Amino acid sequence: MSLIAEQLSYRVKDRLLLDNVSLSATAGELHAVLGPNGAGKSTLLRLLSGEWAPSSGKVLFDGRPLHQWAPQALARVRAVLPQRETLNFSFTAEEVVALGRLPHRAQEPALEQAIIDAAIATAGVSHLSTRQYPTLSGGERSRVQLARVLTQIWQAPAAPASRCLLLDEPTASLDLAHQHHCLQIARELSKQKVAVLAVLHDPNLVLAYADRVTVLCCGQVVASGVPTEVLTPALLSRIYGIPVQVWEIPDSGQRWIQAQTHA
Amino acid sequence: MPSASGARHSIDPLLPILSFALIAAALLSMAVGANSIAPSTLLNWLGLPFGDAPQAFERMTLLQLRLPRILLAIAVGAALATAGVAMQGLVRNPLADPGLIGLSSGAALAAALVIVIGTARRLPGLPQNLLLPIAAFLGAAAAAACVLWLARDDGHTRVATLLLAGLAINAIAGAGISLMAYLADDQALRSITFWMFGSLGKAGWQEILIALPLLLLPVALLPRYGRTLNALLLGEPEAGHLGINVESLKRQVMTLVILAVASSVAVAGIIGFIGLIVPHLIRLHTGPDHRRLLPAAALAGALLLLCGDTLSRTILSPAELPIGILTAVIGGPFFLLLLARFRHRPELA
Repeated sequence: MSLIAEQLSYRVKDRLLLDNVSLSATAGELHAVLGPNGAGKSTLLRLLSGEWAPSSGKVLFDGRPLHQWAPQALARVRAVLPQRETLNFSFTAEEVVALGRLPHRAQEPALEQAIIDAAIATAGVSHLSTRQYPTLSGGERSRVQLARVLTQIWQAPAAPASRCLLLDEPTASLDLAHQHHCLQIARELSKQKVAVLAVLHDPNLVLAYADRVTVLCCGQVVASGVPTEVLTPALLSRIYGIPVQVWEIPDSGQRWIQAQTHA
Repeated sequence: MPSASGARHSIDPLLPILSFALIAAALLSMAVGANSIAPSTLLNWLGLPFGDAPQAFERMTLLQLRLPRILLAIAVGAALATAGVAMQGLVRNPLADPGLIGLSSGAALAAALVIVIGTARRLPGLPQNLLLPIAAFLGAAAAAACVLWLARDDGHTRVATLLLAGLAINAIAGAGISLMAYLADDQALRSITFWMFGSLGKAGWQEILIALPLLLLPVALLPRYGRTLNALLLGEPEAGHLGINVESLKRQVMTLVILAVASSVAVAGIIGFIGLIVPHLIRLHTGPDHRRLLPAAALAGALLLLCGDTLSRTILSPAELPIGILTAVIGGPFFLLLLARFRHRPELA
């Protein structure tokens, strides 16, 4: 039990952006949210992170409604990777990563530095650490931001509490290798009793890395469960509106999803 | 502290250098002026066993004219520079100067109202030298509320709108102040014009003793927000996810910024661009980390305004160039230069 959404709806004026969405992201699992553009994925993430309040329904983290958490206590166990970042001031990449330690009580400087260094190494951005953040490319920036959220929840809390990581399209600006690296990190974290929830666009990445997937379309949950069972050609063709094939790769048990276009 | 590179370099040499320069500038400023005072006499006056004891008129010049003015220049300079840094951190843009976005002229209009009405008929209750800072605070707060509300868009502050709204506030307040000047009697007119240009020479000990704590409170308190302002640069939702109560942070910092700007205007009139030039220059050296930027900018602001004021009262001696004109002459082109630098970075404007 970790992050639970109960019948979330979100309404702006008379448009219903999310309609009765429930899901639960459990510690030890990587939970993916998949869906076409405009399905409400980012809206859902903003409700799950507490940035917006739902019109109805509620979000529970570790059994308590999100708004009952003290902001700092929540920030010590839960981090959110934004989809877009807008930092224009010339911090070095390492200074940006160090901002992730803000919610924590100051420990010995060497200890803090070790956490920052470890997160930087994990995210594979050691070579960027002295570079000025605004001079980095989009993909480099998003990897530095990943290192920042890693430092935020690097240590397991002293009290037995769950940790949680919310990722909003973490692979959006990454190249092929870094997409896989990023999700490997996410999966690794989930094995350390962190509930990881990631909004993803690529069904193949969901197949390769997610333990569980919730498929959104038009603000509603259309399917939820184990990716290999849920992501059928029929479902994918329906939500994306183009013919989709799922191939079995012989001898490996892996699957490959392909759009059937006639270009 | 869990800082990255900040903790590794032990002490920034910038702070001692600026402090030393500030003391030197203060001593120089004590000595020069319409009546210059010999360095040895100055040291004697400061209690050191040198030179001749100052004569009565020299003591009078030092104690009643130069010392209060120097203290005021230091406090106003530090307050305006600190307010500039905090304001820029709050809206996450290095072009947001409290003067440019209308805070100073909002304060000035409210203060001009008090001067004109106050000299025409005695206002009941508070004496004018207390009423002036209060009116200036309310004027600056009204201007701030107006521009920040206009520039707000889905959790972000649009700086183009902020500057345009500031332009409008400056125009409206300018018209209001001109109207006050038109309606004012001779005595009020002199004090309005003198102080529209900005001057550190008008306030006496009494006004300065009221203003100093109001000016130095934001200078002392704003550095405590250094870490949280750093996180705010990531964006408001991101700062929220780091456990910061963003709305409360913005309210507190904005109140201190308004206090700094309004107190400056109340005691010294409109002195522009300190909050733009100083933070930018210091950022070139310290980077954007508010924990280092805020104290350094306070010292540098004090230094810059003290040197500027010393220049303004000696360059045309025995006449005096209003300091507001001097800072505008330097600050205007500086702002254009910044705009030129940021021209290709649309996200900053």
